[in-house]
Amino acid sequence: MQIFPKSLNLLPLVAALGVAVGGGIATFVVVYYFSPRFLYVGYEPEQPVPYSHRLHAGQLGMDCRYCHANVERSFEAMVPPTQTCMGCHAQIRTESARLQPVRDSWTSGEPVEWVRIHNVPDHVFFDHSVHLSAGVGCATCHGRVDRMEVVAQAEPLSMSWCLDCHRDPEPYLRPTSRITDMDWTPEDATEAERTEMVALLDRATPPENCSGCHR
Amino acid sequence: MSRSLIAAVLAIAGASSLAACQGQHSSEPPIVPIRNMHEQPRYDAQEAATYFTDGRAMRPIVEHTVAQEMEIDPILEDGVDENLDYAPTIPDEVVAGFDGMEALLARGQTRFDIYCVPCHGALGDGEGMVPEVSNVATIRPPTFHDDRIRHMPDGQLYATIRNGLRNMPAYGHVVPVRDRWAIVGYVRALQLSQMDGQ
Ligand code: HEC
Ligand code: HEC
Ligand code: HEC
Ligand code: HEC
Ligand code: HEC
Ligand code: HEC
Repeated sequence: MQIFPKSLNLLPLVAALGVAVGGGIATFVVVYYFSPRFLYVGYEPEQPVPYSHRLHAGQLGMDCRYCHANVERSFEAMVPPTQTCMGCHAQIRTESARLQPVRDSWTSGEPVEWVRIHNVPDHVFFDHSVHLSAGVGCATCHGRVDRMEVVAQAEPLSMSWCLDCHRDPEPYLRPTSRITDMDWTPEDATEAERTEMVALLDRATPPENCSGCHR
Repeated sequence: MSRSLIAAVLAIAGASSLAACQGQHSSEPPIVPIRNMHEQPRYDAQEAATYFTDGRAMRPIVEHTVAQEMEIDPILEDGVDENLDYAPTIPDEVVAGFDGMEALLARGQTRFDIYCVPCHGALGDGEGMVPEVSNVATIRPPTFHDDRIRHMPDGQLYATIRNGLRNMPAYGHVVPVRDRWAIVGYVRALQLSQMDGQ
C-alpha cells in the first residue's frame, strides 16, 4: 500500500539537509551574535561632558593614574571626582560650554553623572590592583584609550577572555613600570625588564577555579 | 524550489553577518541575553543609590571625623610641627618605611612623572604640556631651579603638594602621605642634578 506519493521520496533528504543547514545557521547566529564579543565590544555611551582621552592622555601625555588615582590601590579604578578636573579647569577654558556640567558640579557639590562603560556582572569579582602589580597593562584590557575621543569597550570582558589570559599570562605581562604605557610592546623590553618579567611570571598565580572569580 | 529557499536563507544570513560585524560602535547599552544575578541587591563603588538623599552609594567623609588611614602626627601629615614651623627634612620614619633613600627616590620619580610632569615638565623647569597646550599664563608654574625653592624646607614642598598653592591644585586627595614625601625627595634630587649642569 502506498500512503505517500512518490514525489515525497526526497523529503527525508531535504529535511535532513534543512536541519543541518538551519541548525548550522542557528548555531552561527547564537555563537556570533549572542557572544559578549559581539554584544559588549564597542559600547560607547554618550557622556554628560565630551571629555576626550585623546586630548588629555594622548596629546597632553597625562598618566592614567593622574585621574584614575585609585587604580593601584583598590579593586575599582574609579572615575575621577570633579576636584581633579577643576584643578586645571578652574583656569583653563573657564568659559567653555562643554565644561558647564563640571563647573555646575563644582558649585553644587553634586557629582557629574558619568555613564559606566566597562562592567562585569555582580557575580564576578574583579580587582584592578592585583592585575597592575602582576604586570598587566591598561592597554591589554582597555585598548588604546589614549587614541579614543570617546571611550569604547575594546575587549569582551567575558569569562573565556579572562581565562585565556589566566591560563597563559606570559604574552600579556609587562614590567610594572610600564603598566600605563600605551605604546609598549614586548620588543621594547630592556634586559633588566626581561628579568623582571620572568620574575613576575614566576610569581603570578591567576585563579582558574570558579571560586577565584565568583566569590 | 527548496534549493532556492536554502540559497535565499544563506544569502540573507551571509549579508546580515557582513552588515553587522563584531565590535561595531554603538551608544546603546549592550543587550544581555541572560541576566541571572547580573544585578545583585548591593551597591558598587560610584553607583547611584536611592537609599541616601544625595543619591550616592559612596559616602563622603562626615564632618569632624578623620579617615582611618589618616596620619595623626602633624609632621607626617601636614609637614609642619606644633608651632606651624615647616619640617626641615623628610621624616626619618618615612625614609625607613621605604627601606632607604634610594627606594624613596625611585618611588618619588614614578609619582612625580604621574602628578607633576603635566605642568612642571620632566625636568621641573615649568615647561609641561598643560601650560604649553592651553597657553594659560596662570597655570604656568615657576621653575624648581631657583634659589627660593632650593632653600625651601622640605616640609614646605610637602605642604605645597598636600594643600596646593594659589594657582596650583592640591594633590592631598590623590597622593598618599608617604608618596608625597617621596616626591619631595625626588624634587630635591632634580634640583641637585640641575645644579651640576650649571
Ligand atoms: C584627565 C583625567 C583622565 C585621565 C588622565 C585618564 N582618564 Fe580615563 N576617564 C576619565 C573620565 C572623566 C572618565 C569618565 C568619562 C568617560 O568614560 O569618558 C574616564 C573613563 C575611563 C574608562 C571607562 C570607564 C568605564 O566607565 O568603563 C577607562 C577604561 C579609562 N578611563 C581608562 C583610562 C586610561 C587607560 C588612561 C591612561 C591612558 C586614562 N583613562 C586616563 C578621566 C581620565
Ligand atoms: C586585567 C584587565 C584590566 C586591566 C589591566 C585594567 N582594567 Fe580597568 N577594567 C577591567 C574590568 C574587567 C573592568 C570592569 C570592572 C567591574 O565591572 O567591576 C574595568 C573597569 C575600569 C574602569 C571603570 C570602572 C571602575 O572600575 O571604576 C576604569 C576607569 C578602568 N577600568 C580604568 C583602568 C585603568 C586606568 C587601568 C590601568 C592603570 C586599567 N583599568 C587596567 C579590566 C582591566
Ligand atoms: C592637568 C590639567 C587638566 C586636567 C586635570 C583636566 N584637563 Fe581638561 N583640558 C586641559 C587642557 C590643557 C585642555 C585643552 C585646552 C585648549 O585646547 O586650550 C583641556 C580641554 C578639555 C575639554 C575641551 C574644552 C573645549 O572647550 O573644547 C574638556 C571638555 C575637558 N578638558 C574636560 C575635562 C574633564 C571632564 C576633566 C576631569 C576628568 C579634565 N578635563 C581634567 C587640561 C586638563
Ligand atoms: C591579560 C591577563 C589577564 C586578564 C585578561 C585577566 N586577568 Fe585576572 N589575573 C591575571 C594575573 C597575571 C593574575 C595573578 C596575580 C597574582 O598572582 O599576583 C590575575 C589574578 C586574578 C584574580 C586573583 C586576585 C586575588 O585577589 O588573588 C582574580 C579574582 C582575577 N584575576 C579575575 C579576573 C577576571 C574576573 C578577569 C576578566 C574580567 C580577569 N581576571 C582578566 C591576569 C589577567
Ligand atoms: C577568571 C575568572 C573566572 C573564573 C575562574 C570563572 N569564571 Fe565564570 N564568569 C567570569 C566572568 C567575567 C563572567 C561574566 C561574563 C559575561 O559578562 O558575559 C562569568 C560568567 C559565568 C556564568 C554565566 C552567568 C550568567 O548568568 O550569564 C557562569 C554560569 C559561570 N561564570 C560559571 C563558572 C564556573 C562553573 C566556573 C569554574 C569552572 C567559573 N565560572 C570560573 C569569570 C570567571
Ligand atoms: C595643574 C598644574 C600643576 C601640577 C600638576 C603641579 N603643579 Fe606645582 N605649581 C603649579 C603652579 C601654577 C604653580 C605656581 C603657583 C602660584 O604661585 O600661584 C606651582 C608651584 C609649585 C611650587 C612652588 C611653590 C612656591 O612656593 O612658589 C612647587 C614646589 C610645586 N608647584 C610643586 C609641585 C609638585 C611636587 C607637583 C606634583 C605633585 C606639582 N607641583 C604639580 C601648577 C602645577
